[in-house]
Amino acid sequence: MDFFWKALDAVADKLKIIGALGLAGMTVLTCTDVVGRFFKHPVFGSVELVTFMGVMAVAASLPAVHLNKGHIGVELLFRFFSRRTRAVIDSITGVLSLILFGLLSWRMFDYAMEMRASGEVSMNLGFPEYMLVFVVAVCFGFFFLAILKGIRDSFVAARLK
Amino acid sequence: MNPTMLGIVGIVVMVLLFLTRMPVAYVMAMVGFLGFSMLTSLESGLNVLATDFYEVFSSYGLTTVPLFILMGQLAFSSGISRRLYETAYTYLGSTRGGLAIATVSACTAFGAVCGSSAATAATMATVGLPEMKRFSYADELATGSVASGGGLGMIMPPSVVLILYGILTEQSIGQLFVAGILPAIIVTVLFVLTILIWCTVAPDQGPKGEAFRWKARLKVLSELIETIAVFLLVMGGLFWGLFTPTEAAAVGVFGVVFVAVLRKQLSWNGLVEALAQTLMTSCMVMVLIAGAVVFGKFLAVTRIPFDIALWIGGFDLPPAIILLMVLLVYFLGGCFMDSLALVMLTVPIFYPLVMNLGYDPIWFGIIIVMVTEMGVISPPVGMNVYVVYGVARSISGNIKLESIFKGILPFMIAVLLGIILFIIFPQIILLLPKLMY
Repeated sequence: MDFFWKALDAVADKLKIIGALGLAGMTVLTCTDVVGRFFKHPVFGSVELVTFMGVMAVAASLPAVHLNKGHIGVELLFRFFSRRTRAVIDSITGVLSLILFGLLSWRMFDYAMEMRASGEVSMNLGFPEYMLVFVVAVCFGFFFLAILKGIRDSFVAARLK
Repeated sequence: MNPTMLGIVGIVVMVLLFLTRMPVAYVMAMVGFLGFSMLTSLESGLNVLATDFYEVFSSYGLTTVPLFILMGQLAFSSGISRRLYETAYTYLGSTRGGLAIATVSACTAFGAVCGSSAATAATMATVGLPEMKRFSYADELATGSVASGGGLGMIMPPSVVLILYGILTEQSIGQLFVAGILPAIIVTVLFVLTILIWCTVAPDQGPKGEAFRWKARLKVLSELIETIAVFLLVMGGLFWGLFTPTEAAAVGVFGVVFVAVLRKQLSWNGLVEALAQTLMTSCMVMVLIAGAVVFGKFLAVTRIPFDIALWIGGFDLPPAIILLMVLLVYFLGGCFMDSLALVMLTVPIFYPLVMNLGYDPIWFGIIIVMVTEMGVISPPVGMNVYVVYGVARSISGNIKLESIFKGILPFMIAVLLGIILFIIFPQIILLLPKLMY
């Protein structure tokens, strides 16, 4: 089982690289478009491409941010609890998060399929948008697994004396 | 259960879940989804959940967030913050309390290229605290000035909180940015006065530092040029309508990279670290926005924002009193929650109410950012305090959290004075937007 969690860490790292490329791409493309516009040659469809890269950057970082506990939580009361109580609470909230994002991942796949069926494409480039939604759904799938790993870590911590 | 009652139950459940340290974004999304599903149908709730997350992720307007965060991260990685501090230090270090004054001035200057309060505090703590320790500054003054100065990064444009406020309320981000400049400068002046008064009362707490010759002072002045150039490029482009906010942010990133490469101060590792940090923060912010959007949909169905507006309107209180009550909620909320999360959570509730009272939306945006700024430095949560505490402990080891909170108190009074000033004279905030737009 350890192999599975290590593989998940590796996937999260690789996804982060894709995210970083998306972020760098957004910057380069936007600047190119600004300069091009100055010379009356803007990059066609740049707004769409920048948006797509932005989606990639954010969605690809989802598992890594969860694994690194990058989301904001209120620590106020939590620090007064014992380690075991904290681990138990973390397990419970982890399960709640798992259900929520499990549903979200499933619906995101559904949403991609709906878009595919309707043949929706982006306005300028005619890019089939369902592909992007599908990629987001896959990222949410890995995010789901990252939450599962968090729950497993909390269970382990709760069992430790 | 009627919608309003369900809305109140939802808010109570949300607050209880916050106390479990569950990420704020997840809690908002979950409560929003459950509440919306109960008031409509499970199918509608599931649809809202998926489409809202995708729409937030794929919003062109929000692409400005990661780019401005990247700009700040690169400014940090390439040592712009250190050079700003050194410039301020050369000019102000030799006066009593001068290092603390240099720190808050550098915080404001760094805020001009960085949109995050915690990032500004962390950066300036790393640079300023060792110097203040070297000159035997009291822990209270040293850490208090850094943590409070960090909050200036939130008001001085570009500011991530202002971007989100602008998107939530459909106000011009450019106008909000311009409106933030004067308040940031005035609060900086108030901080400087605070330090001067502090060091007059207790001179041993902020002794004089090194004095520099004018030749050295003129030489370091060139260090400021690049920051001013990047700031003018970004803000100028926005003011004159040359760039959209996203374009301004991308041009800002390019400007910072250009300066860093020119000075040979951006390593490959620095670039990779800046990208990685940006992704982490941006993803956190975007999930937070998506969670708040889902929660906002639920609130809209419950009609709670409108009911609150009607309910408070029924008391027939003067608008100023209602405004103060709203600001009190922001201040108390800021003591327990991160400023971004607080703004995302509360703006949908209070914005319609405050607009009904006839206040200006741009003015209100700046005021709530200032009030939440007080929150990020106040106990018990005060994110900046913990950031500075972490850095200070790595530098001097034995610093107490109480010392930082004690040191912050005079600066909080200064911010409060600033807020009162801007409430009495809203023209101060609205002057620049009116001149420019």
